[in-house]
This record gives sequence, structure tokens and C-alpha cells, in this order.
Amino acid sequence: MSSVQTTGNVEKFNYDDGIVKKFTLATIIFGLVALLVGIIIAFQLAYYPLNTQLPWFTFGRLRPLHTNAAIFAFAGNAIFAGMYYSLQRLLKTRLFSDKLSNFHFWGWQLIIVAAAVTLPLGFTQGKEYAELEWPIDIMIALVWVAFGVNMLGTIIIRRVKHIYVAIWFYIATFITVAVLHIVNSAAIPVSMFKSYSAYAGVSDALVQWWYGHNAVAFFLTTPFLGLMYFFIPKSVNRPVYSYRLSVVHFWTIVFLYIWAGPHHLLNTAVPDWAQTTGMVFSIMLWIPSWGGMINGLMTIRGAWDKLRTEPIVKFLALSATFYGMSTFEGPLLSIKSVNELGHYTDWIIAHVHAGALGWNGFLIFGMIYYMVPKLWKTELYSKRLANIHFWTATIGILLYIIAMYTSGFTQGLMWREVDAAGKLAYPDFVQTVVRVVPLYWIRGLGGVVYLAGFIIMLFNVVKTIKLAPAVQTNETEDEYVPYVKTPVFGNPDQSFSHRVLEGAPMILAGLVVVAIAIGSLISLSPMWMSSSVVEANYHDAITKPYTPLQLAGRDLYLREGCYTCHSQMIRKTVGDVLRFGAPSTIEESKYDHPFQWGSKRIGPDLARVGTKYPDLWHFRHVRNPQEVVNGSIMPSYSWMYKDKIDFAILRKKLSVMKILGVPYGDDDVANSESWAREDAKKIAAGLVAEGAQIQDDREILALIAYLQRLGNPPASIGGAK
Amino acid sequence: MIRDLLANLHWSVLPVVSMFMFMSVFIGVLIWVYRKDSNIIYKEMENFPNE
Repeated sequence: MSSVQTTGNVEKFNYDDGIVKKFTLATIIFGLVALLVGIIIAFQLAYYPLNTQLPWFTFGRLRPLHTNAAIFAFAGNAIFAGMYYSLQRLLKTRLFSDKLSNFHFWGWQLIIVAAAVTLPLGFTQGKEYAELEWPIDIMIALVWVAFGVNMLGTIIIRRVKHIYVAIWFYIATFITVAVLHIVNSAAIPVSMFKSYSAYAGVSDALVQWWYGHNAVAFFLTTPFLGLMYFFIPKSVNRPVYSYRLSVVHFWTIVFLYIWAGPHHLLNTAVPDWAQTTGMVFSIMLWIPSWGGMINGLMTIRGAWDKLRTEPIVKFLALSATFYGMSTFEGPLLSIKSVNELGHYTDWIIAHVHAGALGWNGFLIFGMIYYMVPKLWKTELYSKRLANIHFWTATIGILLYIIAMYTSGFTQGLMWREVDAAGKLAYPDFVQTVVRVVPLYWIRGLGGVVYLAGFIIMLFNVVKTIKLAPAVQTNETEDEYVPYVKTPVFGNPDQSFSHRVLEGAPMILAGLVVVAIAIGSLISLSPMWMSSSVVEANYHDAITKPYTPLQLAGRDLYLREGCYTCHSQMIRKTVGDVLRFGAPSTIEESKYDHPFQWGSKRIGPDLARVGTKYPDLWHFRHVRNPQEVVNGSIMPSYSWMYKDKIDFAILRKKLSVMKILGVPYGDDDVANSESWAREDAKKIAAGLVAEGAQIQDDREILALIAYLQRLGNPPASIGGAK
Repeated sequence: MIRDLLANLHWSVLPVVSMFMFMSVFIGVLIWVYRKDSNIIYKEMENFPNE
């Protein structure tokens, strides 16, 4: 309960530790889940039978669960735990509202549970890191606003005049994530668990990677930088190396990061100037990133001896080191020629996991070891076990990333290698898959070792809590002389410039909005001209909407998470063109709500797979990939041969697409069901004529219709009428 | 007309403009942090987490 006692100028008050405890425990529980799912999908790639025949247990459905659990459940809960712990102590006040704190906590856990249920069931928007369907998106927005009000309210009722730099990072996190989530999640519902993105093709790609990149920036970087600026000085009991540098770090990172999204779309159909802008800004990110990393590490100056003895300092120091490594590698991968080699390969997986396991994971572990004994008012059960955790986790990460770097370089080089005659040295994509499978085993092993370390921490935390006094309060008392509140403007007694910019939260927040708005507007600007470019430069006949059956098939492609393994974007690179055909153009995905360009090629690109193989090939391949492609690691989708197409919903789907600007006529919408049934019958009849056994209303027929359409003028396969 | 304009725009100058914008922000912040009297506030804040 909040209570304040005043003695003279000194005010006695208490901090709400209960909410921090809850978020800390949730961090540990969901960290375990995220790692477990990660290990399962790692081994599913190494040994495909582990996909089993259960629809909800396949790689395509579990991979989004893993990423969402790692980012929003594990890292998310940790951010809130660390923020609420540090916010109160830096501002010398209790959190603004206990009710909002609890609404935030339980709301966030409800979102996580909803994600854990819906994603394996195949309810997805098909956008990476933004897969959750519209009702959950609305819940996220509400809970995020509650968090923001609670944080800003706490800042307003503070007893300290200056707002410490860590809190600036928290403010930037709240504002930017809110903007990213609302803009990227814009969609029109078809049903309770199905919606179509408001954006299509190149526009969707730009919005999605503006979101995706900045989810890394403002969910996995800025809040953690704020936490770093709190927990490193705390753990070594030393002042921040340079507060000036932290101010420069903050403004440059907030201004720069938002521009860099297009580096996820290098060598694609996105306009060249947008790619170049993304690349230039990504390279400039070296400046603030390394400034922050140096500031974090140099804060340990004079206390380096603690690296030998204190596991918390070990975790935090290695965390900052991984931050430096990852933020060196990110800009490097944003150089077009480097990206040509690394994109779609496991190099990106190594990069991402060096950041997630090293930077985020180690900072969270350091934070947990720091906070748990203080929250439960006891001592850490075993420093030795914490040290064992540190070394176990370090070995786990090294095994993981070395395997993935090797795999990534191997894939990138094999994909583009040509012989003396100028032909591909490895023309069958599966040759490059088979080569890296042993490395998938090592990656899985690395994950197991990292998880073992995590379980050691779990044991240590449980024992620490058991050591705690039986009578626990969820509060910590403190006292402080509050600063005298004066108007921001027109006060001659204080430094005007300081008060305005560094002591006034709303003005600071306003400047953050301006900083992110400039980069967002410019980096997203191609989306406003994309349709004009398409109409001016491309023959419109090629851009026809999907037939209802193809649309049904496309939704099955999304449901099964095919985009987690297959791209649909042939880049303007020699290797891609030799292997997959002519480069993809922006008009080809003009009506793709959402776009499916993908970011990974565990299997080949599918942008021009249409009519490359007969229907029967797809029929056999989806049921039993190894029967058709020796060495394939793709799972079987046998349920698509039993489950029926939902023809009844097609009318609603086409109506929504029409609202979104896809040129369906009224007749197309009205007759969508009969049109789809007719097309399905044709495909089924063709298959039966070739000896297959299939009824004319099964899901596989819709998927075949969609795959055969990819990269081909729809007229050739009886497209839009 | 607006469509034609958008379709034919070549915005290759934007990366350069953007870079100048960033350099302005960067230099501006550098000047800001070295403003008169900032030393007192920053020295105090460096120690703040440890109070």
C-alpha cells in the first residue's frame, strides 16, 4: 500500500516490490518456455520426423511461438520487472497506480497465454514478429497504454528533479513501440481469428520491416540500454563512465534506428534509393551503438577485479560485449554486398541469437541475480551456481552461434557458386540443405547447454526465495527530500535549458516523437508511391487478383507458417536469378495482403514455383516431401488431405479484400464459393486422372492452386475472371 | 499529375539529405551536452543509480 510520512522536508515512502516480483517470476517461467520451444524447433530442423503428424507441432507453427515467447514473454516480462524496479528507485517514488500495475501484469500474461494457444492452432497474420491476430493486437495496445500511463504518471509524481538517462530510454520505448504496433497491426477482420493486413506487397514489406527492425531497436535494445545504465553502475557501485556520452548515445540512437528498416529488404524490388538510405543509416548506427557499449563497459573501470568474483558483473559485462558484437555485425550485414551473402541464411540466425541470448539474455540474468535477493530481502543461495550458470550459458551461446555462422557462410557460398561454364555448382537446393544438417545438431546442442544453465539459475532462485524470511513484505522503505516543483518556463532560479529538455518528461517525449517521425516518414515514403510506380511501369494484365481458391490456398500457406522456411522474393543477384528465375518485381505482390517475401530460406524460394512442377508433384511433395526430394527436411502436411476447404468464408474474405482495394467485382464476391468449388474440382479431376486419390473439397487442392499461381500470369491457370 | 510525379520521382538525393540531418542532430547534441553549467548536473547524475 502506498503511504507517505513527512518529517520536516524529508518524506518517508515505500516502493512496490510486489509487482517487480511478479514480473521477475514470469520472466523465469516464460524464459524456460521460450528456450524449450526453441530447442524443439532446432531439433525439428536437424531431424524432420520430430515434426510428427500433429498440425500444431510443426516447425512452421512453433517457430512464431518461439520468437513471440522469447521477445514478448521472456524479454518483455524482464523489461517490465527491471523498469518498475529501477523507475521507482531513480525517481524516489512508488509507482503511480497499483491497479494499473496489476492490470499491466495480468493483461500481459493473458496476451502471452492467448499467443501460446492461437499460434500453434494456426491463427496468424503471417507477418514476422507480428503474427498475433487482431483481438490480441487490441489487447496488446490496451495493456501497453496502461503501462505507459503508469510509467509517465510515476515520472510526473517523482521527487527527483532530473530524469536519469535510463528513464529517457524507457520513455522512447513506450512511445515508439506504441506507434510501431498500431501502424503495423492495421488490418480488417474477416472473422474472430482471421484478418487481412491493411497493406500489401511492397507497402507491407516496408511497414513490416520498419516494425520488425524497430521491434529489435525499441523492444530489445532501448529498454535494455536503460536497464544497463541502471544495473551496471549499481552492480559495481561506480558512477556511469560518462553521462555526457549517455545523452549523445540516447539522441543519436533514437534518431537513427528508425531509418534502418529497409536494410531487411536489400537487393529486393524495393526502390534502390530506399535501400541505400537504410544501408547508410545502418552503418551510421555504429556510432551510438559503440558509444553505448563503451559507456557500459567503461563504467566497470576501477572494479574489473569484480569480474573474477561477482557473477552479476560477469553477466552484465559480457552482455555489453555481446551488444557491441551484435551492433558491429548488424551494420556490416547492412552493406549490400555483404547482405547478398548473408541474407536468407543461418548467418542471420547467428546474428539474432548473439543479440538475444548474449545481450538480452545475459543482461536479464545479471538483473535477476541482482534483484531477487533484494526483493526477497535475503542473500543469493549460491554464488558458485551462478558462476556455473555463466560459463554454461557462455559455452551454449558459442556452440550455437559458431554452428550457425558456419552454416550461414556455407549456405551463402553454395547458393551462388558457379562452375567454369557459368552454371550453378549446386543446382539442387536440397544439396545445400543436406550440407548444413550436421550443424543443426550442434545448434540444438548449444541450445540444450544454454537451457541447462537456465535451469541452474531457476534452482538457485528457488533456493534463494526459500532462504528468505518467512514473513515477507512486498515493499521497501526509503526517504528523500523532494525537489521544489517550479514552472518549466519563466523561472529565473534554475537552468532553463536543462529543465526544459532533460527535466521535463512531456517535452522530452515530444522530441522523441519528432525524432522517430522524421525517419519513419522518409523510410516509409516509397509505400505512398508504389501503386503509381506499378501503374506507370508495368503491364496491368499481369497483376490480377487471386482466384477464391488461390486465396484459400494462400491462407493455408500462412496458417502453416510456410514463410518461416520459404521466401517469395528473387533478388537482383546472379545467384538468385540463376537458381530461381527473373528477379521479383513489385507489381507481382501488389495484391498480397500480407506480403510473403520471407526472411529465411531453409527451403528454396517459391516466387516462381508456379507451373514449374505438375500438380501431382505438389500433391506427392506436401504429403511426403522425402518421396519426391531426397534429403528434404520439410515435414509432411498430411492433414491437408483430410481437412476440407472452408468454402463458406470465401465470400467474406473477398469482400474484405475488395475493401482493401483488390479489384474484385461484385459478381466475383457473390460467386466466390461456386467459383472455388469449380476450380477445386478441376484440379482434383486432373490429379485423379493421373492416379491420385483425392476428394474435390480437400485443403491440398487450394494449396496447389496457390502454389501454381506463384510467379505466373494468372491467365495461364484460369485466374481472375 | 500527382501520380505521374510520384511514379517518376527519383529520390536518390534523400540518403545524402538524411545523412546531413543526422550529422546536424549529432553535432547539435554534442554542443548541447557541453553547454555552460551542464557539468554540475551531469556529475550529480553519474552517481544517481548508486544513491
